[in-house]
Amino acid sequence: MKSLINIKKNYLVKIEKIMGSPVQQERLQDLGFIPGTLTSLIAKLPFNGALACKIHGTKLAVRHEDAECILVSAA
Amino acid sequence: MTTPKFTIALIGFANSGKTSLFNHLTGAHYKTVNYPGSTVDFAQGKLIDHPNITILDIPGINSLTPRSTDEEIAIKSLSCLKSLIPSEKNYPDLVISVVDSTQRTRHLSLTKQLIDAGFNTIVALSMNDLAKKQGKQLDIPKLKEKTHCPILRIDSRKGTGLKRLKNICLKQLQTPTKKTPTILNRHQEDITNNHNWVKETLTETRKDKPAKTESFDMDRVLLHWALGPLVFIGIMGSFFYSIFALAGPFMDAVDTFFGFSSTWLMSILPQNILSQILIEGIWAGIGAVLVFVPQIAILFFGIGLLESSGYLARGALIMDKLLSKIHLSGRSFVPLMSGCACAIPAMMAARNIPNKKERLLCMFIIPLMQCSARLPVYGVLLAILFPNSPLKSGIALTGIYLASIIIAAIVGSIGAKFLDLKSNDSYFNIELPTWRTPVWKHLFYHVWHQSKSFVSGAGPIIISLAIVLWVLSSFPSTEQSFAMMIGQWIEPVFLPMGIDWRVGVAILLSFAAREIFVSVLVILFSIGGSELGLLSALGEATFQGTSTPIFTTATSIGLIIFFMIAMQCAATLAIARKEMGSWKLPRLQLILFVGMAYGLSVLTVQSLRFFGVY
Repeated sequence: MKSLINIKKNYLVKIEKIMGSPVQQERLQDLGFIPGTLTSLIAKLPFNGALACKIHGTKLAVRHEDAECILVSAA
Repeated sequence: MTTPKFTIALIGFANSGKTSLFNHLTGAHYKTVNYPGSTVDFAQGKLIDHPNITILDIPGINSLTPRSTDEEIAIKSLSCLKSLIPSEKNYPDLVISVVDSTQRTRHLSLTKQLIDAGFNTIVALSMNDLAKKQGKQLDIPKLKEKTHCPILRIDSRKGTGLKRLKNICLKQLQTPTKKTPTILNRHQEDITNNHNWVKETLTETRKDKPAKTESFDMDRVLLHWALGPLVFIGIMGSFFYSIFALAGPFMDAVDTFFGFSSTWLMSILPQNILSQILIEGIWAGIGAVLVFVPQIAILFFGIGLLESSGYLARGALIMDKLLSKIHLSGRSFVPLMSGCACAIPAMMAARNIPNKKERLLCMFIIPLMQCSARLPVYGVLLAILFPNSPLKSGIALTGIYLASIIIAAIVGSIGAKFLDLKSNDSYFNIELPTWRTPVWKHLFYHVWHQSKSFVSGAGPIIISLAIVLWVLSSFPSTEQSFAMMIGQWIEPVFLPMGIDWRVGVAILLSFAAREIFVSVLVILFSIGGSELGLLSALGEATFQGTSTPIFTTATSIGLIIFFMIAMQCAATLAIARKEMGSWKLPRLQLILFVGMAYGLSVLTVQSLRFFGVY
């Protein structure tokens, strides 16, 4: 399993697990980062900046710190 | 028989099309109401042709579990409606759950939570044209069976489906829920159940078709690691340049109009104290309010354009990392940048920041951005410091901007500690909306509403402060006014800054508007004529009765530092009061920024003198 920050752009991956504090986990799940869901990374800004990914056709932005907590595997 | 009163609440994610729907249902006639002690705005209006039915636009939420103070208040309004609208019951009679069809997974999850809490719910599917393009279609009759509540498609941009929605609402209000809706704390189990339900429902009701061939995704350029920031600088640069360029002529026009009309009024009214108060006090005060309207309207038009096209969210994403260093998020960029034009529209632009603490912090440091009214002041002071060297002046001006950003960052970091704002609080996960062309009617209405709220909200405070400053500067007479008396009386305060009472009075009166500083100096040092005359006259100005010059290197630097930090004007104070909801923080801004400005200015002047620089 890799974290969302370590995957290549435009590759479909499956969300495996959400780490972090319970509050953070719940927040990320409410956004749609639910284990089992497919996602792909569409943008990654330099200097550990924010990331953008696509879930169910919706583009979402997450901070680097949040993306670190999203563990994914090849779909 | 009296008609029974009802309340309908619109609930959905931010950008779900909720506000457009609200505008259609109410005919865009609304007022904003606040929960006691909060600055979260709820738009409240009446259903067209049904004055007994109140429509409430609840600010965007992601779930019924609050993640921020703002969401907490939004959710609270669903169970304690009485505190928001005193004549109401504690919960709305009906909720319309607005679901963006392109984002059905997340949005239906919120709908399910509303149904589970026991609200009388109608589901309105929005953004259907986009969903169709993406091939996302739902079997509505089946979805009705799953949710046990009325579901319909609406188009809040074109206004279709709204008549049906209205009829369903009226019907649904006749069949109230039996038990009181209650919002319970959710556990991990509930979250999982909720997700499973959404998954199951979508599998059963999905009628997806292959998406129409996807056109080129602009985000590949706009969010590119190198091109993205470049495009951002280009877009923002032209955006802020056009605010300066476009607003200028309008502001001049307002100024000229008030100048001419005052002269005209003076010629037709009898010369007495009453007409003087009317023209120079009240009429000029109204002018002082209206002069900001062009900037506000143009800024909000620009922001509206960026927001509704979808670019603002991308820009926020690009700026997020930098601003997160001072516990703000990318959302604060536009307000802070606008502060370089004028703090008044900038504070209003901060309304776009969803998190309350972050919004307060952003508004707190906006006055530290160098507004354009300070430029004439710097112009004179830098010309005294570097005569005949525009290059050195230019470098120094850049230095002023950079120094102010550093000061703002320091104040921001300390402020974040006081507000208990942790970097993760102002969490930044936003949806990047699909690219769309703006609905011009909504955009213009938005601009009109923001300008109106400025005139009616901050206007009275600005007018009163303008009148007070006018009375101080023109009574008992302009030759020996209260301001001058006060200036002479508190001259000891100004002496450590290396300036006499006349410069002090100019500082005091420039609280009406920074650029006044120069014109007051012209009057008090009895300088007439060209700008060259002004500079040499100021250069030769001495303390009265002595030959000690006033505008030396040390005092000019000291004055620049003062103007760089001090709270700029009465209008800024007024808008801060209006936007922050109380005098607490604006008062702190005034005391802190003026105190800091004075302290640093005195420190600079005295240390420069200590090292032999006069």
